[in-house]
Amino acid sequence: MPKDETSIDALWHMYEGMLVSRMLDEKCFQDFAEWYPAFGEEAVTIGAFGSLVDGDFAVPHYRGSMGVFWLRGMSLEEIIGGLLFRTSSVSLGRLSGLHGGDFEKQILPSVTNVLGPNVSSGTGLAMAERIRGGSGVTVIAFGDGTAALGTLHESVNMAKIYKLPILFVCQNNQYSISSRSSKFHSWDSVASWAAGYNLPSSQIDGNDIMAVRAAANEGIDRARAGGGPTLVDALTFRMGGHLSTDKAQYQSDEERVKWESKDPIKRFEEYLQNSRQISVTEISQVRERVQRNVLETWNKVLASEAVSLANQ
Amino acid sequence: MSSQRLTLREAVIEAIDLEMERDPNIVMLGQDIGEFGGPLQSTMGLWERYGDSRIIETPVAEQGVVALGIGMSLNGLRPIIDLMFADFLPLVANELLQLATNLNYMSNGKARAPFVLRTRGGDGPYRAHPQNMEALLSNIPGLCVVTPGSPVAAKGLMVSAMRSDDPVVYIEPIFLYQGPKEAVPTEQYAIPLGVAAVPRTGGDVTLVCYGRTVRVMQLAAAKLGKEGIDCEIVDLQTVTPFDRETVINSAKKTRRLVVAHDAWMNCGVGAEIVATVTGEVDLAARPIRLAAPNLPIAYAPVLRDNSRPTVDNVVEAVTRMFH
Repeated sequence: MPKDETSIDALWHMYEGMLVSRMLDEKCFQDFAEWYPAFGEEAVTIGAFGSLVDGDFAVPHYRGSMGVFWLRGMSLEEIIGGLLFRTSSVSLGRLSGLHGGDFEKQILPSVTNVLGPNVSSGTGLAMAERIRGGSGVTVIAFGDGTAALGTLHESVNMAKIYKLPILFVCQNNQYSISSRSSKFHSWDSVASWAAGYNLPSSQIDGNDIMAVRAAANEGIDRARAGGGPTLVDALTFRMGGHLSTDKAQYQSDEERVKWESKDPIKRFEEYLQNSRQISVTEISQVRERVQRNVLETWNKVLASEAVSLANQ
Repeated sequence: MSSQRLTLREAVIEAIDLEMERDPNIVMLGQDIGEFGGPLQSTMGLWERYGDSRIIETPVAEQGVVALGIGMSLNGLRPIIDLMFADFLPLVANELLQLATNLNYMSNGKARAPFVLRTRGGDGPYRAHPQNMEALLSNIPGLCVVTPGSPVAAKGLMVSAMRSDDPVVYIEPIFLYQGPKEAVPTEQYAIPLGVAAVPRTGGDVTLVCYGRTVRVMQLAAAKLGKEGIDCEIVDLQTVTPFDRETVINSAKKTRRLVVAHDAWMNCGVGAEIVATVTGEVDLAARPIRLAAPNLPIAYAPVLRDNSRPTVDNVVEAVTRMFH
């Protein structure tokens, strides 16, 4: 994606990324008994990882990971193959669709369901990059639940003392399963924790992709220039339950309505129309093209050869 | 071929030193491994030679540090992670057992993690950190667990561990750490992983061991030899995955099996060896396992000494098999 987030190519790329993420989530939510959608969080994933270039590492959070896979150049065939356990799955079905990624494209796969190890081993990717004199930056995303984990704090501290080229992004959807993060965090922002480790840090509007992109670029530029790690707490909202069977009765109607009005895709469409004079027709054409592409690829992959013991 | 008389500790350091000189991608991570010289002097001289850029000191944050090393190994380096003592292995169980072990297979071979986690385990003269955790690590596919029983083995096995493309946990037995010296070849040499050594051949009974119990078996075999019992010693060297072929072939020859280790008997490495052998070999006597009783390891010497298999235990067990 073009680095200048305000260029028209960058805008379309961001829009398409958010749509791919949303539409894959919708399909999975509809077809799978169990699914962990990132509805409402697309501006964080697509904004935070959107400026990475070849040679950089992406360490996505599991929720919304598919948008990051797409940004890093995985094809829809590979992403959907991972979801449907078809032979286009990069791991040949050994990992779930949202854990897979492709390490050849410098996406760290999640080989354990435990959250935290990827944040800490992702820190190691950056440590090796620094030692070897490379210019790669590592972007590491994690949820507000993971933010309270001891190992994350160990890693943020080490990232600072070793001056590692990392952008930490808290994909702060305010819930870990049913637990409200405000109940379990000693600060009202994860950025305050990071400040305690002497990292430049800020809380931003995670539903505004332009704000996320700008904050991410600042951190990535600092990391690439040798200025060490940055943490961005991107405040967003999980529009729905932890997984498809969770009706999220613990969320209030009031907060749901409030955040639905801040849907990052709708907001970005408004931005495109109002600030960039892009027509509704053009926007709908892109939306329809992405929708068609996702569904056609889905059906094609569904009909393709499944992973089996014989083709491992 | 020139050689030098070294302790097990010195042999490990020599292996690391020569390999760091040969391979610039090897770096070491750990607590107190710099000017201090490492826990139990385990890194003496390395910091002076390689400095802060390759002998990297870390905070007391075992989980974070092990994960850091794993990540570094995924991005072109071959880190040696120094985990002070084996007592700390449960702290990093998640990083070892659910992250490092899974990478190669789960990523379909795309994410390989060539690191060595070195630690020190088991009782010893120092008497502070007595735990033996190898059975915990052995239950999970994907991890290689090595424990040397002599200085010569220590050097060659550490070389193979550093050259492996997948994770190796290398446990240095504290009991032997500053123990008997041995003539260790000066040049670098590798002893392959997954291959047992047979330091003594014999036809009457197979004694399987690793780490400290290699020495126990050697002393017991010498005593039993005087009584006319001809022992064969199989030193596993690599505890997991162990060398099935050497163990089974020896048991086929002797038809008698004793396994001894310092770790607990319950669900231990000995249980796996006995199950494997009895599945393949008709033994002439019931196999015997000698291991720690199913109790935490106590501090008072009189209690602690009772938790380790002794030379007398082995002699008594073998003698019993022939009556």
